[in-house]
Amino acid sequence: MRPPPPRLRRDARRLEFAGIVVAAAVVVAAINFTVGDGRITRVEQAFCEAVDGTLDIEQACAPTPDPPAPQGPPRPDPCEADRAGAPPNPVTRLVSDPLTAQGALVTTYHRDGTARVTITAENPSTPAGAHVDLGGGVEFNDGDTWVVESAHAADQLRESLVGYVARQTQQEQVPYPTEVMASISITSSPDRALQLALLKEQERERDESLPAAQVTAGIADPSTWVTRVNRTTGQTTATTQLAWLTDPAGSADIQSPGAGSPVGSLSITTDSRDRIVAVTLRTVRANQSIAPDGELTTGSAGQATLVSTTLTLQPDGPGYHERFQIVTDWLSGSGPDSVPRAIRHGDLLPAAAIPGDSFQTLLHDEAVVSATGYVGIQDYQAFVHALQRDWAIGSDRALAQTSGTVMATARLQEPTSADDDGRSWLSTTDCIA
Amino acid sequence: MNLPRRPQHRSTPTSSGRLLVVAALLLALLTACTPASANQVEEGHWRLSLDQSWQRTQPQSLPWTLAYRSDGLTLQLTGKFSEDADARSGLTRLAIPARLALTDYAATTVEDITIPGADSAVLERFSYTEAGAPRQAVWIIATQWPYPATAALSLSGEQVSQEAIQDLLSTLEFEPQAP
Repeated sequence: MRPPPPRLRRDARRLEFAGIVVAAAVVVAAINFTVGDGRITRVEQAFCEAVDGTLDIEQACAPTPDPPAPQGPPRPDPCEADRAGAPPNPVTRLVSDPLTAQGALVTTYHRDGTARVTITAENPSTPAGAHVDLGGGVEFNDGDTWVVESAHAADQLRESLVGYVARQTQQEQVPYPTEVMASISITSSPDRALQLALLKEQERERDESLPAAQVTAGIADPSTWVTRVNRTTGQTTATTQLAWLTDPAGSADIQSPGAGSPVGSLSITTDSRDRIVAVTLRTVRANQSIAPDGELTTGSAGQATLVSTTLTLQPDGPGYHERFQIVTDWLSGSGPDSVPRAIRHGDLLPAAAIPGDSFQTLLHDEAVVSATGYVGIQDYQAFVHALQRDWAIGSDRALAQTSGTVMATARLQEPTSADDDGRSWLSTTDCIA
Repeated sequence: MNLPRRPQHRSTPTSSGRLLVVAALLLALLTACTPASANQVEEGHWRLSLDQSWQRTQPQSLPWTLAYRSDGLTLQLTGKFSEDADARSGLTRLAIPARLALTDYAATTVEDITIPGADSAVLERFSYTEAGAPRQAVWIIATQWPYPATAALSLSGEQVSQEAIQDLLSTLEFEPQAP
């Protein structure tokens, strides 16, 4: 006998689902909400452009109408500097709704009228991708996000999800998330299909040819990737840790327990046709600060500088194939000159071009590089881990202010034919409220 | 003298043979009307038919749990691939390792498709290089909602024709399953 049409089967499942929801209502109603107010404050402080009822942060974060532009190209909005490729879209309001003892709902309202509603695990130390169980067979991953077109739609969704937990008898089905997050683990294997073991051998051979001073950071092995898929745009962003592949001990600006320890993250964004449209490297440098002129300089304990490097590719623009091939070769380890999936320590800031290294030269020539200086960091490793988690969720500075405060920002100026000494830094600290 | 009566209802050898012939003809007719798709594959959420040219073989690696070969093509399936809510999220699980491990991996087309029974499905055609030789492949991922679960398959070879893809899609179904 032929099974019922898919639509009928889906309807049947939804009815079944609604039945489960009703049955679970009594159980879930007994959940004790324990989310504290501190979460709201922490998240609000995370976005420099966020505002609450008393602070007009939106105005402070807006681009200056008449920038003095003493040198170089016009200054971008530093609050948006590390969101290369995306139009400025500051947050105007941020609300956190407690859901269960496990998690909360964070809603960010943007200036353009859109909003993002994100499931977050309550415990900041929860690993990315953790489950948030709403009861009734409904589980979300930490970071699952809906992108909605209006504040009103966001409010409705908030009420729907909060109401699902608190008033489940009124909930018939769960809306489909617009943005979906997942966690992917990739482990080296002798398996021929993945070829990772072979690539490790290649890395080792190439590392031996590197000068000892050029400590290398790269994709950790095994690596865990957090992916975010936006069902509306079709864009996918996959983020993983960058770790020291060799021991960076002895480097003055690096605080690390040794090889394998985290240093930052790598994000790859692809469009709906699986074409790479952006590569972002984010690293943290301990005991560094940003000088008034924007240059990175040696700081003191409790200070750190976050550097974000974004290479944006235009799939329909000229020269895409060549750039795509350089990035693909770097990722797969099949290129003639780049160290596969690795960045030499001296070039984590692509201020200077590296002859003979196509990928890093491409970063120098075209990447947007910004820096954010933090002070008051009490636990550096926790700070780095919090940053990595937030980058995976899609926030750039975000929740990292758990243990630090933004004091300065800067960006690398565009490369010119005269920058023999490398691209120079430009202060953008006037963003900081 | 009365002759013994012949048993009534007893068929003659001739009529019995006629029945056998008719039955054989019917069987042959039925066989002829059914495509040579004797392989009814059920693997997790996947339901599909493969013609007899497809021969069972060993999957090359995880996550694939079932594999067939035919005319230079390799079909690999996993009926329970992940718990992603979206087919494109499941696609990423295949694309990221490919970016790290396959030489010259590049997507040719990515399209949302309809697979009976699935809430969302995506098909990606891509190319890569193996031992210096160009290869083509297809991934299909389908998922259900609100109980997120995906199934995936790959079809690969020196060349993967649109006809081969359409043959595969013509019988491919996703069987939703509650947890």
